[in-house]
Amino acid sequence: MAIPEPDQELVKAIRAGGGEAAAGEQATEAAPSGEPAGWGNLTGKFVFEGGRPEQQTIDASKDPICTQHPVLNESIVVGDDGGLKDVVIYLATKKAPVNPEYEATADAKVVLDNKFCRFEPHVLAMRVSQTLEIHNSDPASHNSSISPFGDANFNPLIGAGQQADHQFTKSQNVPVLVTCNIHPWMRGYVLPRDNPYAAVSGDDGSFEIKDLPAGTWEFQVWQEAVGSLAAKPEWKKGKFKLEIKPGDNDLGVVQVSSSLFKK
Amino acid sequence: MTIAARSDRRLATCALLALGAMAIAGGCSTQVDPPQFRMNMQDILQEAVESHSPDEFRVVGNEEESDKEDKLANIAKLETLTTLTVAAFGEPNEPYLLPEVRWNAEEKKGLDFKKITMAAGPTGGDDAKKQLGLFRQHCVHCHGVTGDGAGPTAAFLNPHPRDYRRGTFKFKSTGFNDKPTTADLKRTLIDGIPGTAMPSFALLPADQIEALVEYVKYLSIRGETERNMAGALFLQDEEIEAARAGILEGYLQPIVDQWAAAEEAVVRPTERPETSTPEELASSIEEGRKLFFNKDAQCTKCHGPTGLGDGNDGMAEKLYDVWNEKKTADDLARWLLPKQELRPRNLRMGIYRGGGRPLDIYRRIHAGIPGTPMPGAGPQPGKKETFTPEQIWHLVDYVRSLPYENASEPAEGQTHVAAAHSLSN
Repeated sequence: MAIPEPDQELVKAIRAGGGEAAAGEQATEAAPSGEPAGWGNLTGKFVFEGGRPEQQTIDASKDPICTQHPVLNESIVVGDDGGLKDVVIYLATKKAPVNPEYEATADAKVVLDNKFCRFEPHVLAMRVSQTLEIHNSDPASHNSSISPFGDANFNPLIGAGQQADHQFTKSQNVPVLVTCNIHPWMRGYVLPRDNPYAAVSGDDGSFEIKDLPAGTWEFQVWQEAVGSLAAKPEWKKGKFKLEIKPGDNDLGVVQVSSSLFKK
Repeated sequence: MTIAARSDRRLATCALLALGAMAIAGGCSTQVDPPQFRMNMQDILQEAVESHSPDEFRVVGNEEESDKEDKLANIAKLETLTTLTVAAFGEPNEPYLLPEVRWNAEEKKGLDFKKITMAAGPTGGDDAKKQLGLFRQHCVHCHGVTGDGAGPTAAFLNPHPRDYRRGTFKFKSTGFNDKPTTADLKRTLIDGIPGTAMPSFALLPADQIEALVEYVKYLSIRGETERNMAGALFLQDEEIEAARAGILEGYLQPIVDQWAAAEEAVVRPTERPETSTPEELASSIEEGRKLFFNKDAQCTKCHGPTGLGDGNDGMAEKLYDVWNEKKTADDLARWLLPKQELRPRNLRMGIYRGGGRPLDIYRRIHAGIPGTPMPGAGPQPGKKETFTPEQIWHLVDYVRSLPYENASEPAEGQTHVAAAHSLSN
């Protein structure tokens, strides 16, 4: 594939000015000024279409402490009523106004537990300003390895009952994999974002994002087994635009076809 | 939008070389374009674009308008990346460094540009018969012009040569997320890495070793800057103008600062238990053995109950390092190097890649081995220690005793497997 040639004029300008001179007109994306016209909640529900897939049991006999409870593959989890769990839906538009209600939890702790040789929760969304507390409720050590793109890596050994705190410094646009190499079937996902507008669907496939600013925004939908989840034909690369009106907004039931998961 | 094709041009050059004699006969020019740094497309595609297809960067003409816009935006980002990396680092034959990141003796940070020019460029000597082009003379075959660990011989080696561009180095005296010190890299060059293809360069004069170490840092900083900028442009959707404005303070300086900070981040363990008599050593080894099988250490889960490095054998999920874990089967044809499984170290060989001194093994257990599944048992920012320095020393003594322990006759008439299980329960 073709890699572009460098812009020699710009190379000269950067070298002459140490980078500053080359900035050109700073395209300062106008942050929406003032209060939005109101705040709205977004709800919806992801439902798996095409038969409930069986979660495979993982052979966890490598470590005796992991055989007390069944360990299941969690890449596609469908509830009794067809709800698709662990779908992440988040605001893709940058620099949207944030409701002041969220300030109180801006530096909150978010817990990711190692329990029964799996991560609890399996998928979580958080803000970069919050602290990820990795706990270990199991009677033996786990390691939790995270390598976010362009951010610090982390791989501590966490003894029984211990915890390790981690601070992300950069927002990611897809959830980051968390693994334990001692128990290599263990997979979890953490999505650090610089705004609070992200939700993970629950056991019944439903989700709620509270206090979004009114206006038209772009959302991203992600699911572990497929990545960007194009549940509707118009959701290119799992993205769609939606106008949020003050008050309640319902995305309704989103049917997720099983054909999306066949590779 | 017209784009001159950097990699295509290189391919054309290769073809020309292969047809050398014919080309001359045909009256073609045999002038070879200078080598170029290879852009880190692997990471950009796998991580930043979350796609494994270079089509994200190729406008074919029949795509929908919105897709075409996306692709053009991607191409513009690549163009920015090329321009910024060339502006800040130059090309293999003409290295460059912004003045702000050149060696500053007062602040003790930055890169020594003189040393870099000594190691860069084509192999040869200057008027004073000083050897130049050291990297291409000694290192490029394995580590590649770009320092991406994908030189011509790389595919034949296990493990693959180190790709410097993540800024991640496995064997060093510092903490998990710290860079290696200058002394660490020097030691790797002088001692080589036992058990791998990395030879010792102990016969090179000291100034050449220093020049090479500086050049490895330069390639690493270049690669990490490019990688982080790719992340910002593609993942954090940073504006192209903002990336240009921030090249120095946003990208380059923080990495250069990390390299400088490493010199102060050396792990210096304390509380080493007394092991000067055979009795004391035996008791420390025994303590270490208990820890090795302890459910808090979990050593056996990878290194195996007898330390043969077979603890994960038979598992459906194999172990990989960060350089390999994201490669997929589809990538095989595209990436230069195939996906390579990681084998946990066989502790009975007496071969230690990061060095066999007790201190080296202490640091491996304390900080972990960055880029690999080996976690750190010592304290880290945000985490209390899992093991005290004294306990780590016991583990070191046990690990060092393993090559001399009879694997088939475990102590107390009990197999280590059974011992491991009874201790785990």
